[in-house]
Amino acid sequence: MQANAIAGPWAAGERILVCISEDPRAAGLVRYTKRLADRLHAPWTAISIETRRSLQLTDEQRDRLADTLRLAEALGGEALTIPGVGRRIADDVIGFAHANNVTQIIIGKSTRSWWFELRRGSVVQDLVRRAGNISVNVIAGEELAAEPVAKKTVRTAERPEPFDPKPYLLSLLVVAVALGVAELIQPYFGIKNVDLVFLTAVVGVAVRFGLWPSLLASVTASLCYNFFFLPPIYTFTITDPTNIAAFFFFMLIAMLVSNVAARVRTQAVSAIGRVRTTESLYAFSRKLAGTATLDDVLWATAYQTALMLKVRVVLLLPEDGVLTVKTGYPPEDRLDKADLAAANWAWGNDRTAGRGSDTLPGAKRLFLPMRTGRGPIGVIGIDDDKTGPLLTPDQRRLLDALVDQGALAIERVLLVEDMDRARRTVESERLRSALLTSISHDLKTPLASVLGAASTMRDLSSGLTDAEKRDLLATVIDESERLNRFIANLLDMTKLESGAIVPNTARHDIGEIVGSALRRASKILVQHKVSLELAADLPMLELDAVLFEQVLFNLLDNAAKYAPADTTISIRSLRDKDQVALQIIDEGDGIPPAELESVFDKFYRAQKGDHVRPGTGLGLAISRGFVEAMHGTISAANRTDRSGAVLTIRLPIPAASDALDTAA
Amino acid sequence: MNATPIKVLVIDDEPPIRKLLRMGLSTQGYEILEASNGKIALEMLAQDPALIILDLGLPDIQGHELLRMIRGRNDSVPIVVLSSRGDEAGKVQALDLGADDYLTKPFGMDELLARMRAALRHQLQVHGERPVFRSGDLSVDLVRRIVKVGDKEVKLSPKEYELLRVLVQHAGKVLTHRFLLKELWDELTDAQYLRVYVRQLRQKIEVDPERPQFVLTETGIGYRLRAPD
Repeated sequence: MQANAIAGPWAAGERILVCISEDPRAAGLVRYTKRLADRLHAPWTAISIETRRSLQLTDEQRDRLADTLRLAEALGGEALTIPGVGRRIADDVIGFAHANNVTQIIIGKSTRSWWFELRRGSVVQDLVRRAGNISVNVIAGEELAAEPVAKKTVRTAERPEPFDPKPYLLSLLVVAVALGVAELIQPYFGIKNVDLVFLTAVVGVAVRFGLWPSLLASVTASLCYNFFFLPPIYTFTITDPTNIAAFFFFMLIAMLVSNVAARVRTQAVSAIGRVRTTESLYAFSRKLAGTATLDDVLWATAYQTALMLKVRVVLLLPEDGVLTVKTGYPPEDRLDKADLAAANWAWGNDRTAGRGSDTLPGAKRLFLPMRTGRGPIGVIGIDDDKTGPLLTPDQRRLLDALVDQGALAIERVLLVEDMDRARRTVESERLRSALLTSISHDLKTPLASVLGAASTMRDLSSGLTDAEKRDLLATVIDESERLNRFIANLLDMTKLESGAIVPNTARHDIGEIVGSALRRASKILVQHKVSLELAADLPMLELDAVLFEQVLFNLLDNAAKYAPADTTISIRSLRDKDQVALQIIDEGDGIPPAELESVFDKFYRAQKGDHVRPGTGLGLAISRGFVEAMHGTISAANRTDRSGAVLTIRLPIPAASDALDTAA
Repeated sequence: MNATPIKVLVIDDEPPIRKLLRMGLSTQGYEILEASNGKIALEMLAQDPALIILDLGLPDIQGHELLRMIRGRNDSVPIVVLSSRGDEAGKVQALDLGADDYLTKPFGMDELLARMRAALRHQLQVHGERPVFRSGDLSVDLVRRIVKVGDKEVKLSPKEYELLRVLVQHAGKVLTHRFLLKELWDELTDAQYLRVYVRQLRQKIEVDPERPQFVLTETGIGYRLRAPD
């Protein structure tokens, strides 16, 4: 901003901020903001300012605030709690708004008494006065129905804060030390300065031990100050009126200071707690983001929840309409009847059930529904070894946050799986229709030729010359052989798909297999010239000869199909570092660059105008499957010297392959 | 052809195939006996066929089992098995069990006749071996141990000559890797040795060793020497 000499926020589209509190109508405010944001297509944020008042909220109010923040997140907004640092809440809100280029602030009209506002100031009025170029929308309370936030039906444990006398004793000790120090310095500095020693002690106690010990320290310090230093000493009476004033001011200052110092401490402690929670939630979400499979997400959710709340966790997801245990920490795969009933009730009613709740409290575990903005995902169940309430209110709020994150992560994975499944269905539909086209066209065409030729011979032979008869018979034979190749391809593909191809490899001379493939393909290649350039120094390779011959046959068949008659098909082999490359090079039109990879897809067939070449479109797919089964690779490219395709097979040279060749 | 026709037993459960073989083979002067299953086939053995064509996929008796049973009763009659593509292991097994050759369905009549001739020729040769084998430009004088391609004499190492001799003795017939290994070394030798020697033999007797005309590879099965003229 400074660099561009723009002062303050610059408008980059609307951005809305909604201020929420523990007020029951805050949820309505959030919903209102969501509607407004949708209309404006604007991003929005809900903030709650944590002031010292926040620390005094009842658990019900805290729950409501947490629920409102979760609601904002569920509705697609950003939810933040920021610590109040300014003198007034409005300062913090405006500060945040400026820093984040907010254009509109939404706040509910206060229902507090004029007396309250006179004392504490009105946030709304402060905001309006100080907002500058940011619009402030004040929503009247009447527009927002107070949302009956579902009362937490789960009993939670009181925060375990048993009386601990140690801080009080220690604060007395500190005062005693201060007394000693004061006695020591009094002869040198005079009575006027000993109160500072006591004040230092009080502040120290306040910062270290909080409000109540520091109040005790204030009182004790005042009494000591009076007893030991204000004349008449060693009595609690004060004779000099100026000393009376000094004593009361000392006491007042001690109390104020301890109050302030204790508040600073509380805020620091709560900030640390918040940072810790945020950190663990962040770590949790990062862990979830890194997981790809449903099992991993479930496991991470269960594990993190168990770890952070010190409870046992089970996760249940619906499977074919039945709620089933998917994972647990520690691992668990079945629930007893009562637990299952509670889990099912929680799932069916989207409410908490089981231990410590209103519904089925007899169950061993407490079950909470996991849901996202889209709907319910599953159920999480927790329990521990103790009896009584499972969680403190803070833990309960943390659990809600964890469950929300877990639910989102599970939904994400489920959506990805759904998409995968949909894609696979489309793919298999496409394959099926391609297969049907292939069978109906490519199998029926040669059959039609055979049938036609044979029936012509039978019915019309009297009118045919010998040459015509020979021609018809040649058609029958050629087309039958074509049919045979198609069927062989379909069989090979089926075998590949079903995983029935187990290469039976041994060391083979690649040239020998090329030779036998050429012999088998000789009929197909009659109209082409074949040139062979096999390097003489090739080592034997680890191959399944039958599969490899079929690969070569398919490639030669392909080349013969796409390269015009009387052109040359070259077979070239060479050693390339630790591989042997074998290339089938033709002089056809080549392969469109965009399709160099898809030629290996099942049922791919080169298109020429609207004419599709005959063939099952399986030859190259089978070749790739076979070559990969033999740990090789196959790729397609175009010639650079002229038009034409180059199919390259690369096979690894086995270790110590030359020994035998030289020995023999 | 001959005055006494050669009896061929066709064992196949498909009537159209039997009919085709009957028609095709009759024109070549063979006399055809037909069996639609293994049981009938075993009975037909009594009629002493000179050659058997056996489909390995029969309804009642598993093909290899029937082959074993036939060999149990008659260890010299040439047998040509019909098998489906892709079943190289089944073919090798059949050859090891004593079949003389195999054909992959579907096949042409010319191929079948060539296989039958090779199988019958070998049986005749067992009795009277011809001293000089000729096929195209290749001639092998088994008595004087002279190998020629055209007019040029070819020097072969003892092992190469052994290999060629075994091939010549079964010219036109497929020989499995295992059979050749057993003849030349022993059964446990790695087939790689065989491939190396075949390559060397081809370098010496083939015009274009990459596209052999004499020593043909039967991928996944073994080798076959071109039939004599």
